[in-house]
Amino acid sequence: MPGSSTGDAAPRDLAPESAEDLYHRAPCGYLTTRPDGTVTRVNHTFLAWTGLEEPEVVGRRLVDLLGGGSRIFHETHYAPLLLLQGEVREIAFDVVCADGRRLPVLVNSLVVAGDDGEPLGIRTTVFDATLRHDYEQELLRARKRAEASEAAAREVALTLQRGLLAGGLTGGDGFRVETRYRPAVQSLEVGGDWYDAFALADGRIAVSVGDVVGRGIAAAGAMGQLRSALRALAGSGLGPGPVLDELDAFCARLPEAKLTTVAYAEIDLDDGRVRYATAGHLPPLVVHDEGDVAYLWGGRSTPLAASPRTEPRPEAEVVLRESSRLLLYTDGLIERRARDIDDGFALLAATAARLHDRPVDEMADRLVEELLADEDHRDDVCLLAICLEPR
Amino acid sequence: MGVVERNNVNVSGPAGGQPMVFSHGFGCDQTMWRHVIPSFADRYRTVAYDHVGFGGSDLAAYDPARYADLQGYADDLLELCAELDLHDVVFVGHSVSAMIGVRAALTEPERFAHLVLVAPSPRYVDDADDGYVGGFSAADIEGLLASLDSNYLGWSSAMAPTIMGNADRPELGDELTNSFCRTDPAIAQQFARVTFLSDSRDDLGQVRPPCLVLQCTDDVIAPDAVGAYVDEHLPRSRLVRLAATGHCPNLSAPAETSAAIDEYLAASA
Repeated sequence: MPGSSTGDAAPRDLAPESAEDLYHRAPCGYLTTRPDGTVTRVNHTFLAWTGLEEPEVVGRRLVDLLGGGSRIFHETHYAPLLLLQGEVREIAFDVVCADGRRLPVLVNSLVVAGDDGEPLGIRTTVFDATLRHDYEQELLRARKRAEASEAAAREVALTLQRGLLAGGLTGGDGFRVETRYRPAVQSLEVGGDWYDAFALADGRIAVSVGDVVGRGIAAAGAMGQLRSALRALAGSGLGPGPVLDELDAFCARLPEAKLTTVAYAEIDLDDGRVRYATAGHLPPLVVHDEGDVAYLWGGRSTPLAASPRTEPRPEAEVVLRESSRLLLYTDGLIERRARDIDDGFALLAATAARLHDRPVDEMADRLVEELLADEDHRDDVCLLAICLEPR
Repeated sequence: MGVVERNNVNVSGPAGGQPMVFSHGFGCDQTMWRHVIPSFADRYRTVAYDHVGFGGSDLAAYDPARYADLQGYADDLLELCAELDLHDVVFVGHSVSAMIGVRAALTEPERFAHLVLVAPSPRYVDDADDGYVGGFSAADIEGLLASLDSNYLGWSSAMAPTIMGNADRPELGDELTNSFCRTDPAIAQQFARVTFLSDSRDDLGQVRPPCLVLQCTDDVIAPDAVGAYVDEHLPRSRLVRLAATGHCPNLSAPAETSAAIDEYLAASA
């Protein structure tokens, strides 16, 4: 009985709750279908949400109440799952309302079987998922934007890197230069390796290969600066040892450049004399026209800006015969976690020897191909091959 | 990795029996055949497999370039037949796999004794140019792809939302809860595009092995007119209309499905 107006009225309560009322005035839509999907009973909440009348729902199949894409999904996923598992939860569908509007919903369905285990019908609760759907769409859009943004950032880094490596000589009267770059297989960020070939004022040709520690835009930026600084300092004509000493001083003011390794050589095309020096870098390889090869172990010193130096950096000299090649490379070409470095040296030497009489572009291609055939290289790989040619 | 592992191949039945290869359709895996295969495993060498990217197959073997076309799946099927040395194969393909079988039979017609096409469709999208009714508009297919996105939002937490634990249904085997209908969402999207936007109508006229077309009643994915179209354009085929409704008679009416296949094979012997 409705209570009196005084504060002593008995607390209001729904009990007793009739099954009819529990069914029709539920906070969700509720349907019963036959095993083949024909609706046999539907509650008022579902009708209110969709604007459909009972005769428009009862007697039709659940799949026919759904919008195009949902109809396919109903047949390809929902129905098989239900048949195999006896229930499904949280399936997202679009229900077509009386006014043509699509209502996004989540459904749970339960197969009800008789005592013999055969399905008698399916009970399905329907939850209005409009707001959740909107939120999900927003999240999906945000995720797509983030993925596009990441891809764009990567593109920018690659473009920068390509730009920073441009401008090197590829050949001239008496020489030919081939360069190759292979990024690390599993890395998402650009690396700090470089190659360069440029002319000195007196007509000699300078070549360099370097390796900045780390990855990403910062390493690429430092690489660009070092490559340019080396060009500028080389112009002094002081020779490899002093040039690397000056580069040390430059690096001291550039934190990202600490521990960079460099191999640098100056080649006189007239007499084949090569002056060279390496700062913490793997030794260049000479490949003579007759197939003999030799690593250049002279002129070695510590990486750039490693620690304060008390001695000038050393340099060394070698003479190249005509048609000889000089190879500079970064450690990604031969260093492997699971392989001794000496085996790496031996492999490069043997492969280069075998290719000594191939045209230098083919030699470069095949060196990279064969040395990286194991696909285990975790590091960027840089190769520069300069070949002396008859003038 | 071998084909058997890559495609989660399961073989049953007598070693000398005629091979029967079961190929599942979009969305699920070979579990779709679990009520049909036992009817044949006493007499035939039954071979069930999962398409790469589905069920218990090796997801790492999924190559978007290879599977950008149904031919990639047809090639897998032929690799499987070669690997297991199968001849005179009775191919049973459901839904989109029907056309995968058709494609395989164009490449190696002598490999197959019969093609059983369950609820097939050579093209799902209506073609306004020649009046072909596939049953769907291009917008409907985009809606399906959006539906896939909505239903896979929970993928990243390792369980697609359609799979639930069976703690309260101990009578269900473990195998049902782990892989059925679950796949990588990117793979599901591409497979949906490739299959639902494909057009295999021109393939039908060149099929050499005899075919059985099983057409369901009230199948929204492959309606009656489409089954009739397939039957008309196959050079040698029989059309059988099942009383089963919906798109998956192999699950909803396995007895009727098995009986129809049995009857056809007996009559063709």
